Amino acid sequence: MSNRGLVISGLRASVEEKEILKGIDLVVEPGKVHALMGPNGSGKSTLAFSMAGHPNYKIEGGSVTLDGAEILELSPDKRARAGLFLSFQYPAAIPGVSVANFIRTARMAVKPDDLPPAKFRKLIYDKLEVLDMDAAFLSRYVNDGFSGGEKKRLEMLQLAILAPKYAVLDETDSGLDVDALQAVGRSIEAMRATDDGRDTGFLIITHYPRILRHVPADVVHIMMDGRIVKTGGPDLAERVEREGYDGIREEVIGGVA
Amino acid sequence: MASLSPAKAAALIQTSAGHTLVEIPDGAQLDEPIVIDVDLDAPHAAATRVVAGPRSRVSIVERIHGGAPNQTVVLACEVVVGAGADVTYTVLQTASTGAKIEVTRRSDVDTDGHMKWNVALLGGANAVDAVVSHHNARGTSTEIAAIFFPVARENVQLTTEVRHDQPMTSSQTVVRSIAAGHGRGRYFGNIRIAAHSHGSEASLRDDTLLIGKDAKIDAIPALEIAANDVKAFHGATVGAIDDEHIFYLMSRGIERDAAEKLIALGFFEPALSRFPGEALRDEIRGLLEAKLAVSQR
Repeated sequence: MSNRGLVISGLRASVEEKEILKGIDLVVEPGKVHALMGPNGSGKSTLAFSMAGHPNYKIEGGSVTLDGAEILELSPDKRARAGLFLSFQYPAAIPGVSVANFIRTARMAVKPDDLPPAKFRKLIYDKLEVLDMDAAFLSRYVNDGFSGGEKKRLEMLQLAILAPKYAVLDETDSGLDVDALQAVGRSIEAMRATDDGRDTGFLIITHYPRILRHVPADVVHIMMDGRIVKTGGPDLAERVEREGYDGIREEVIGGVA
Repeated sequence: MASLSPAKAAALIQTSAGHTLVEIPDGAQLDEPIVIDVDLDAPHAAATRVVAGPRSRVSIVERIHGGAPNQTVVLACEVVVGAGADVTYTVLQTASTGAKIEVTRRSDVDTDGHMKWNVALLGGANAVDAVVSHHNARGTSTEIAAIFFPVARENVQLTTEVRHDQPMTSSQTVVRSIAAGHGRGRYFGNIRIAAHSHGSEASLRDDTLLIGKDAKIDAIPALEIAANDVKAFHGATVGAIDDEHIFYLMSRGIERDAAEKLIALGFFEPALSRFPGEALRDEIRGLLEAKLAVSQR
C-alpha cells in the first residue's frame, strides 16, 4: 500500500504553554482538496504554523509525515524542501527584496537546477497570466505596500512556482474579491493534476464556505477547540453555511454526552 | 594621489600634488561619468574641487581605496553647482582594513541647481565622512543617499547636513546602515531651515539594522526650523532582523543564512537604488555581500 499523503497523527501543540491542538488526526491524499473549517480560535492557524515549523509553536506530541517521512524534527526550510507549502494569512513585508529575486531564490532552494533561466522566466509569466497578475509585480518589494488581495495573489504565485507536494492555505479567501477567488480556484485546479504527473494535495483553512464554490473540496473537516470534531463531504460545508457552527457544536456535544 | 578616467574633452581637469580640479563648462552635458580614483597609499592629503557651470550636467564617481594601518588620511571635497546645473557625486569608499580616513564634503548650490550625493562607506578601520550641502539661492535642491556597514571592529561616522538658507528649496536624505560583529557606527543627520526660507521642503529618513548583540549604531537626526510655511519630516529606526521575516523566507525553502542575507542586502536597497548605474549598484551589492559573509562566519 502506498504511504503517500500528508499524514497528521495525534498532533498536539501549544503556544506560550497553553495547549491549542489537542490531538489532530488528518490525512490529505495527493491531488485531493481537504477543507478545514471552524470558528475563530479553534486552532486552525495553529495547525498550519505548527506544521510549517514556526518557532513560537511548541509540538507536544504526535507526528506529521509527508509521503512517509517525518517532518516535525526539521527546520522550516527543510520542511519546505521536503514538499510542504504554507500560504500565510498575513505574509510578511520585506522591503528591498524584489518579488523576482525572492521567488527565484525560493525556487532554487526547493528545486535546485531544474529549470534554465529562460524556462524559469516563461514559467513565471505563465503563472502570472493564470493568476491575472501584472508583470510589474516582479519588480516590487515582497508584500511592501501590497493590498490584502495583492498579498494573497503573491502567495498563490509562490504556490504555483514552488509546486509543492502538499499545500496548506491559511484563510487565502479573506480579502479576495470574486475575480481573485476565481483565479485562485483556477490555479489550484491546475495543480491538482498536472501534465507532468504532479498532484499537489491541498488543505484549505477557511471560516467560510465561499472559497469552496471555486475550489470544490473532496473532504470537509470541522475543527473546534483544538480537535477535528466532524469529517464529511462537500455537503458538510453547505450545512455550515446554512446553520453556522452552532448546530454542529450542539450535535458534537450531544454525541459526547 | 588622485587620477581621473576617462579624460573628458568637455571638462577641464587638472591634477597636481593631490589636488584635483574639475571644471564643467556652461551648458555642457556629460553622458559618461568622470571617475576620480583616490589612492590612500599616496603620501599626501587630497582635495577635490568640482565647478559645474550654469545649466551643465555631470556625474562624478569617486573611488577611494588603499591606506596603511593606523595612518589617518584627510580628504576634502568641494562641489560648486551653477545655476540650473545638475551634479551627481557618488563616493565608493573601500579603504584597506586598518586604514583611517576623514573626509569633509561640501556643496554650494546656485539658483535652480540640483546636487545629488551618493555615499557608500564600506572600508577602513575608522571612517569619518561629513557631507554638507548649502542651498544658497531659490529653487535649489539636494538629494543625499548614503549607506554604511561596519563589521568586525570597524568604526564609521557619517554626518549629513542640508542648509536651507533661501526660499523654495528642497532636500531628501535617505540613509541605510547595518552593523554586524563588533561594528560600530554613528550617524548625525541635520536639516537646517533658516528664517525667510519659506516654501522649503525637507525630509530625512534613517534606518539601521543591527546583526548580533555586539553591533551598535547611534542615529541622531535633528531638525532646526526657523521659518514658517515649510514642510519638514525626519524619522529614524534601529532594530534587529525580524524573526517573522526569517520564518517567512525559511518557509519557502530558503536556509537561515541565505534568508538573513536576502533581508540584509535588501535593507540597503531604498538608499542603494538611488545610486547611478546598474553596474555600480551591482558592484556595491557584491561588496555588501562580501562584508555580510564576514559577519556570518
